[in-house]
Amino acid sequence: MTIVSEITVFSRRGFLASGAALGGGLIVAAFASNPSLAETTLRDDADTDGNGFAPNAFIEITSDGQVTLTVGKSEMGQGTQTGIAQLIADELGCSWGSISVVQAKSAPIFGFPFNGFMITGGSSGLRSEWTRMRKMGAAARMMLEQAAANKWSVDIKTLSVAEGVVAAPDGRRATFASLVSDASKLPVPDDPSLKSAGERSVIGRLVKRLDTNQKTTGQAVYGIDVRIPNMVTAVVISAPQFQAPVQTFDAERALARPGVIDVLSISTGVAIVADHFWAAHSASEDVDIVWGRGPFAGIDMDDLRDGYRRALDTPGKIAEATGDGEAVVDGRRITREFEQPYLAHACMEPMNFTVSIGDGVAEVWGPTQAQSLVQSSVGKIAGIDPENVTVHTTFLGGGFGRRSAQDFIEAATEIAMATGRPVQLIYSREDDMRAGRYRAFNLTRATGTLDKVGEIAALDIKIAKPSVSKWSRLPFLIRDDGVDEQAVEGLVNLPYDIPNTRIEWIDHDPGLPVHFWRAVGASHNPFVVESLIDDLAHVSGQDPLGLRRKLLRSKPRHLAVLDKLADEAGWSAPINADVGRGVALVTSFESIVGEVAEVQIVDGELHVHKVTCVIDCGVAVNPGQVEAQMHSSIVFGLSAFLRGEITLSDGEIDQSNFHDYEPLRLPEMPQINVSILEGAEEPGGVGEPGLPPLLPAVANAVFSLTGERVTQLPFRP
Amino acid sequence: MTTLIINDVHHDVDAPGDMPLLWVIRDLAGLTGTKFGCGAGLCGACTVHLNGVAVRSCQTSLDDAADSTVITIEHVGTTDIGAQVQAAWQDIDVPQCGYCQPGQIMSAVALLSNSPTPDDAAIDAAMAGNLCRCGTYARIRAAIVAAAQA
Repeated sequence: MTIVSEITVFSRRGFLASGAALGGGLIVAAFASNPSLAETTLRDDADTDGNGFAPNAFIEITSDGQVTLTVGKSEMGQGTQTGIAQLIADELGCSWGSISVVQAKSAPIFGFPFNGFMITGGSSGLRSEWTRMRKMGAAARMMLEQAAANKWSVDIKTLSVAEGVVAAPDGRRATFASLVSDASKLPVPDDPSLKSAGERSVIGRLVKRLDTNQKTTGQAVYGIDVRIPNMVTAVVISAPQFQAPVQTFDAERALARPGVIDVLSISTGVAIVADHFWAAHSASEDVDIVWGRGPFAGIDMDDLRDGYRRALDTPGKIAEATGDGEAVVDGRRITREFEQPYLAHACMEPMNFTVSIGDGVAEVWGPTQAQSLVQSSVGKIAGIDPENVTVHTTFLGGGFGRRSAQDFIEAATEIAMATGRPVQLIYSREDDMRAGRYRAFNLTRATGTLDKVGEIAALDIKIAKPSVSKWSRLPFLIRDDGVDEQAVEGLVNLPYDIPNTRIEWIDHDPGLPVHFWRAVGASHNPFVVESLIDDLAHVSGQDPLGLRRKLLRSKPRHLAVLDKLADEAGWSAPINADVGRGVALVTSFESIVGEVAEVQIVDGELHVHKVTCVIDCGVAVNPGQVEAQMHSSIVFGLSAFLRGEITLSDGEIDQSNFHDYEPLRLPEMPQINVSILEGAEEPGGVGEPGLPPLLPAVANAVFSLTGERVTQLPFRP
Repeated sequence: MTTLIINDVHHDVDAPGDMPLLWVIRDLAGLTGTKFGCGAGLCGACTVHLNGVAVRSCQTSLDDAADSTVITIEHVGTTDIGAQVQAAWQDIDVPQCGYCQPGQIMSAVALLSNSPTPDDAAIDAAMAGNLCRCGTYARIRAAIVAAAQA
């Protein structure tokens, strides 16, 4: 089965069922019926000594007791590989110190349990593996226990396991190392039972990340560090004007430079192939290129804005309609328009990929979030069956959605095809900043209506934005009624008790490539909703946090987050007149996060000096990494709020490097306090949910300080 | 031919004098721990020590580094302060994606070499040039403080 057909059979309903529960029947059924789960390990550094124990594709225990876990999820900083190891280790009962994790090669077994699609995103790593990985660990433990039970002629039920040792009530003990040979001859149990919450020992524990030592000693291998025999390095010169085509080029001077091997035209520009990066990069100035006129020639931001404004006055698709928002005509209304910009991901590791094309096969190496898409895109260009494209995933120097895009992979494949040698394509920072695939610009008109007694009666929200799911090549995220879920994420299914809602999406697409960007629709929609709620609280004379409590009276988990937030942030305590304080609460990726920001304006500059954050993500598999991801999302959101903006002038992207697209720096860090509410529910996501409330919390703090509503980002005092 | 010592190893480099030290280290000396982030001295991912001073290796030419001693992330743990900083980074579990951390650590080691007990302002000044897109700044500060107390 090719990847393309996998996408088509991957129904939206299936995704939702898994996205909603990610556990339960689907995965258990998949586990029980999928014979490939007993496959031997498929990892990059397979060095099994032949005496080990590999009950499934994910776990290998060697005869010296070392436990190697093979993980399909890409590690881009979110800690998913450590978290998945905790899920397995908790059930397996090995010692934490005996574990190492290796990255899986591309294979359906390492994709989502319900469809084999290999992608890391949507804060879904631990959610999608929550049941399967624990079952993998439990199955292996049962086999080790059975081996001991057989050896000692005792009932398996009398045995216990901890720290890699099986123990009998009479004091006999056997290490995993001593049992692996016997265990490997036993059948793999179909449906092992799992521990109760009270029995867990590794899940919920603050263990250190398994990659920290590599990442502090220079040993971690990122895409840019891949070295393949006979490899050459390439750069691509793209037009200053976005997507302008090459008409002619003269490479004579460039080819005369030392180290330059070839200069050739590809679909996105002119590629220089050389012995190493500097030889290729510095030769760029010696290629004379005549560019044609690009599709955005003559277009400025104001032209794009006008297009959005006009679109907002056209009818769109109704994403949600509850009650009868139109009927509430005699209440007080607030209508505002919110404009949010294009944003670059600006991962610290510039986009890069290494491609080697063989005879009917390809091997590729690099930082990707979407191995299944890589197989398709390399296969399509090289004329190879996607199954015959092997993807070796390195560490990702940041991802944030950007690394599920295919532009840099396709360009590397084109160059590898043309040169006939393994090629590592490296974007310069400028290439990376100007390659498109941005968080989409969006314009939203939002109306809130209060009834006669000042309660919120209706929300009517209309957003103009392109379909990110279409651009990102995941069309199954578009609902059967044509609404792109990513466009209205954070607008529909709000937890608030508001009787009438009307949510409408206008598919307005100016043609600039857009992509997933941390929290996707929830990166911008909650800014609108939570700003509007704040407005409505203000005009109805209610406390913003108190109003939210009232709207959430039937939602105990949300109430608990709000109450903890009020407590931790000292919401009821008075603050200085020169400090603004704002609150926001957002449910995204199945986690509930509330944040309170405190701001000051000093010499005309906004300073966010404190952020209090409370998260309920169900079971917090690793509290240290939950805290880290809250910090990360808050910093990411703050960078966007204060400065994040990609703009266009006469078809050229204005920003180029970190001087004009500058993420938050260390001295600008607010004090951040994170509280994690202990939950019994299945884990929610943590890589993204900390971001959505940050922008409105800061905007609401600005309002409380200045009385000015922030309706355009980035913030301009 | 330009001579320099990288991590105690003598290198004779046959490359143009304007080639940035970053690419000499990565592509000619084969040490990939030092990272390329911006190529413009804006992010600090490429920070190394040149004769004991933290420099952005993407803005340091091979000529500038001639006859000099270069220390990179692969070797900084052989010094007392380097080892303390790496241990603090590990103890506090600082990295997320980790890509910027070699540069962060090299800047922190340089700071503590000059100022064994830096205050917040000194940490701000020394670390402002090192971007971290994952936002590990709070743990970076905590690790510097911990290393200073080690």
